[in-house]
Amino acid sequence: MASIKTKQIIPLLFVGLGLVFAVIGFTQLGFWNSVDGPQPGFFPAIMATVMVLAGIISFFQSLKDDKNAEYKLPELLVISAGLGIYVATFIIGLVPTIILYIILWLKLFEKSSWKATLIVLAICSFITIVVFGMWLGIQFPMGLLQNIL
Amino acid sequence: MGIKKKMVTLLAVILILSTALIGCQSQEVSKTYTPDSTINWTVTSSPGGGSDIFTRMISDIMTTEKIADGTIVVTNKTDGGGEVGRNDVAHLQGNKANNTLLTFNSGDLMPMVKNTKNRSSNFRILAIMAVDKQLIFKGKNTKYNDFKEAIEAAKNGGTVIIGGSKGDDIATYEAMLEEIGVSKDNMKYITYDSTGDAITAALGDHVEFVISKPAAASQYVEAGTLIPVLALATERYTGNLAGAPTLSEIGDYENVEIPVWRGIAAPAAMSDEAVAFWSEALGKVAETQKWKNDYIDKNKLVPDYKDTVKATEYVTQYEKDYMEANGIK
Amino acid sequence: MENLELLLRGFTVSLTPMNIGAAFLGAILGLIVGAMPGIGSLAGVALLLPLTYKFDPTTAIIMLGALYYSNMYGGSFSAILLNIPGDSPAVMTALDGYPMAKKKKRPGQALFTANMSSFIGGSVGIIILTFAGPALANLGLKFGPSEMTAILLIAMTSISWLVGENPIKGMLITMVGILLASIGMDTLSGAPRYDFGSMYLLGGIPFTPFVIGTVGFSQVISLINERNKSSENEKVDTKLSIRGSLLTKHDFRRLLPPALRSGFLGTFVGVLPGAGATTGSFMGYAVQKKFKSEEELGTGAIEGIAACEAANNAAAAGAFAPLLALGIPGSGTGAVLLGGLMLWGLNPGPLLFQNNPDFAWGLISSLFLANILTLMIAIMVIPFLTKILSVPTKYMIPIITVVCVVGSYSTNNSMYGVLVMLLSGILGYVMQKNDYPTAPMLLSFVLAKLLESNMRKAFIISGGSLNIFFTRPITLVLMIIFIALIVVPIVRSLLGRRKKEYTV
Repeated sequence: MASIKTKQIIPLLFVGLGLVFAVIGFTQLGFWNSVDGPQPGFFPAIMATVMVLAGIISFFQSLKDDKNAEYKLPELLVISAGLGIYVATFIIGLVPTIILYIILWLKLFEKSSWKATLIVLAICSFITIVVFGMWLGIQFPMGLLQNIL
Repeated sequence: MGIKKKMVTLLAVILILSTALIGCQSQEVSKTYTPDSTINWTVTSSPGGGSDIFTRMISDIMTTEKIADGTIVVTNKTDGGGEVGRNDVAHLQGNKANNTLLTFNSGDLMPMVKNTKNRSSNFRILAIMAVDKQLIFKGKNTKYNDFKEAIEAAKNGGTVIIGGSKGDDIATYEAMLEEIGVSKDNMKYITYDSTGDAITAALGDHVEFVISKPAAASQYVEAGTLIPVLALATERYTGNLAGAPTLSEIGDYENVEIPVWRGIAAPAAMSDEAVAFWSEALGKVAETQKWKNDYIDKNKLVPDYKDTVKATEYVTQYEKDYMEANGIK
Repeated sequence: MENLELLLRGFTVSLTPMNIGAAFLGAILGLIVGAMPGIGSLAGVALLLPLTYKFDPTTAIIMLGALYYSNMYGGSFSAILLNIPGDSPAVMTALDGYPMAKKKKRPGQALFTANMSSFIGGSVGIIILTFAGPALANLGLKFGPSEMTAILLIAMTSISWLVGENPIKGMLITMVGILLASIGMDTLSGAPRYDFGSMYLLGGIPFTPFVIGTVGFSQVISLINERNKSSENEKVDTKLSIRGSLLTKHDFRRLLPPALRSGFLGTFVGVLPGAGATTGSFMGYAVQKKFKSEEELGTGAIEGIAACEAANNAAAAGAFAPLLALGIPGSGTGAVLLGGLMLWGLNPGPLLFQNNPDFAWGLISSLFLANILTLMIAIMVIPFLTKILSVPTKYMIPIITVVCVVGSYSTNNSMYGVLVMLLSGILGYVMQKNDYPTAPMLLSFVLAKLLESNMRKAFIISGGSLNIFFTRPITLVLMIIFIALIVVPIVRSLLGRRKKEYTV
């Protein structure tokens, strides 16, 4: 996993982002008006330009840096779990997704005991359903079920 | 007689059938719609502002007068100038659609139509409650004595700075400029996030005038820190705002009045029964003493209740006119 | 000392059993709401407002005031224990609080520091409010667009104190914050900007999910590597008692100067239009960088926690000055309180002190009350809270993930918040891996919006001329400070270099 040279890629991505913001700022949003001074594009366009320059310098700096950032598999697993929760919420709703996530995560990945799993589940359900849901009155999305009800 | 007998039985059958049908129908009407225990009410402007006060006043009356049971949760969704909140409400489905309300006024409609593809037809318009109008106020240390002087100064190449909120305040400002024939470069407008912010700027003398509806400004008028200098209405206000002349009084102009209607909308998917319920409930609110005294009179609005049919008609026409005037397809 | 007399009269109003009960309840609710990420004081106050209609206005506002106030305490709990800021002012608390709790194994002391500093900062703020409230409010009014621009420019230079070893990387990440903040509706022109046709981007990047992601969720991602260390090793040294969480005399001596300093700074920031507690705590922390701290900030220094916690509570108190004296809400929460006042038939504003002195002074005295009550409650719960740290990491990971998801959903009742949280979590994680500091990004995100809108307003007033920044007295002074802040280090480093050349 360690072969990706993100230290070089990141400055380049920032340069790209800066370019997009600068071009839109300079050309589409309006830069300076003789009567009112700065227009919507003024501030972001200048900042984006600074970012492009800093990105280029940072890129050359990074070439000297031979330590690479290491990414580990379990870390990516946490990210995919997060994205999984996001996607699953649209299908089965937020609360069921959370319950499913905790059970799957603790049983399949951590191989925890049922007792520990249920305790964690109870804590999370308490925070989600009782504190946020009932007390603070947050209505959670119900996914596809909502249209059926 | 055979035929007669047959006719009688036929009539009887028809009668029975029809009463049964009517019975069914009336049964359907009576079981129609009851609101959930929690009603969500979205306001797309800042807490403490005009729309927020309007909403909280109605929800308060609904609860205390037992017009709608259950709790009404008012949420302020100001992201993207309120567009996100309006878009969310427009697309609600199912049971949620029947239990969600949206405060919707002309100041919301104008930027929505201008900046997004969202249209009033994506909502059910439940009612219009009242009409609001603006005035222009000056700060204590503003160098012009009245607005007439400010117009003169602007016409002679000076710069006058007016502060105000988004949406309908800008529309009124633009209409006024057109009438007095002054360019935007000589009478500038600074858009603040809310009327409150604009008033703050006027109190600190950072803007010379501020445009506001009576509700937000009245306490400052009472304290003498804001002075009403122009009523953007066809006639003068009463009470402590009576000192402000209309445009026709200060020069050879027509009066400028851009009425700001304040209404309530709901998701397009709200059922007809629910629409009828809420429209009627809002009608009941408009009849209460509390509404008349503590809201309409206190904030010097014009009461103008329109039920869902009339309000929809009115808003649709308003939107059409606005789009034509601004060349929006 | 007319004010003192009035304050004492205020205490006779607020010190009824009913009102103390209300303040107590408000303080507890505020602590919980504050500790829940995603639900800020704004939402807390807004949600509880309907409940308070049943009370009389004074009791209701005392309860809401206490809630608003204790919220600032609660935000630091989850920041210190979980590295998830409970509300946006607590972002800076996490920078030193979490390392202090985790690496130094002094969670009790970290919480104690936060509470004590909140108390000190808050007290400074309330005392200033009592004696100079209206004057302070009028001073705040003097700060128009040009003055605010100059102040924000000074604040922006403080970002450079946070960037760490590599200034170029610091600058890059600062710009990322600024550009992300520019997405959304441009209020001055009323036109969308960088929305790329998306309704959600039109709404901008919501700050709370952004913070929960960059600070909290990115933390979970790295935490996974530690989950196999047995929890026995992590056993917290402090005993589960208040005594075990007490600060030493030495700790207290380290805490006091930054807390007092931030108290004054925070009160001033709180009074400024549109600034608020978040800006207050950010500034407090940045300023502390300029003063001597016994340990380096960011490694778990008591000074770091004290500086920002004191500042945000002071700012919360300062924000009451324009609210009460002029009817100007300094923050979203202030606006809700204001709306509440109006519904009770009170007219907040220039006449409040004249027409409803009982109410106004009752509220101020209730702030004193709330401050003390909250400190007591907060210290009592410390031993129970530190227990959280003995939960094994592998169980904390799913719990924190769930809290991040639910919290970021709740800020706007929208899955968009969750998406922003996840993406900024990934961003924060990748940045961390590649040695980019994230604090400058958060600070610039907050300041850039304010800076831009004030600067453009100033230019509209001046007709595009720079004169406005050099002809108004307050602005001029601030601009000189700003320029000095930029020029002096450059000159100094040039001189230093020359000296080196000579000596070589």
